[in-house]
Amino acid sequence: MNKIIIFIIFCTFINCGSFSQNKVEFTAKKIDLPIKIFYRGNIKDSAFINLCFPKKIVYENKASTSIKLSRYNLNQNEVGINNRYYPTYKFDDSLVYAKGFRIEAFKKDSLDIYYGFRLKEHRSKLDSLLKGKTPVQKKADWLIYDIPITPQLKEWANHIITDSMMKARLNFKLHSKEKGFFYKSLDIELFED
Amino acid sequence: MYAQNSDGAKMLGLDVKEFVSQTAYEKLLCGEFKTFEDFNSFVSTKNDDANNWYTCFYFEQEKNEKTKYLIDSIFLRQ
Repeated sequence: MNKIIIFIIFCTFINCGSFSQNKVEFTAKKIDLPIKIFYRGNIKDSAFINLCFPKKIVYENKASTSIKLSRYNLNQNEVGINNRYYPTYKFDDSLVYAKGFRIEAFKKDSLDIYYGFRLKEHRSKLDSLLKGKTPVQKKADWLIYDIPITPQLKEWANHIITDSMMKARLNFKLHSKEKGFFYKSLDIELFED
Repeated sequence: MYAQNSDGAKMLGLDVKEFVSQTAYEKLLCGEFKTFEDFNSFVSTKNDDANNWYTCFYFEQEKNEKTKYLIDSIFLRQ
């Protein structure tokens, strides 16, 4: 009899854990925004840039308790932050820090984000991409430019971003009282079409 | 026993911030970051590119709707 009770308690704990994990969902959707290039200027032949892509993230908490979204960021591993090679920002008219927040019970909402990659590119290509463009934002010594998405830009981005970079996933670190910390991840796609 | 990468960090219940710049490292040690957000949102400059980079392992704790970040260790990246 005791063994049965222990088994039932064990199953309850297991179910509670998977319950909160499965009750929060994230989906990535296309959003009609330009890509962003972080560029430092004054270079001789080539330079590092950050190439960032817009995405709308829809989140839904189907549980009856709130869940804390501790952080969200692009990375090869779900544990870890790597802002140098995989910059991630929230977009709120401009790029701002991707701060965590609490998702209330039964709440469905969305946020706009930019995630991207640190890349090296020749000056001639950067000059042609940024010709006549004015920076829309500045972060430290980075100037940030908006670049409209065109077939040529898609071709260039798909060429310059390697398969190994595309192994990165958008990771969400979450916390619930029942489960503690747990993770959700989404595969990334540069352009949906 | 200490973590050396993200897999090790996960096993020990740690989180990790990779590529902490020399400037951010010094500001952290001098207590110039008042919050974890200040530390994590710090953007390195061109001057940092040729300098040292560090990996910072930390614990994150949720208590009474408040979040605490406890730094476990900082390593110089090779």
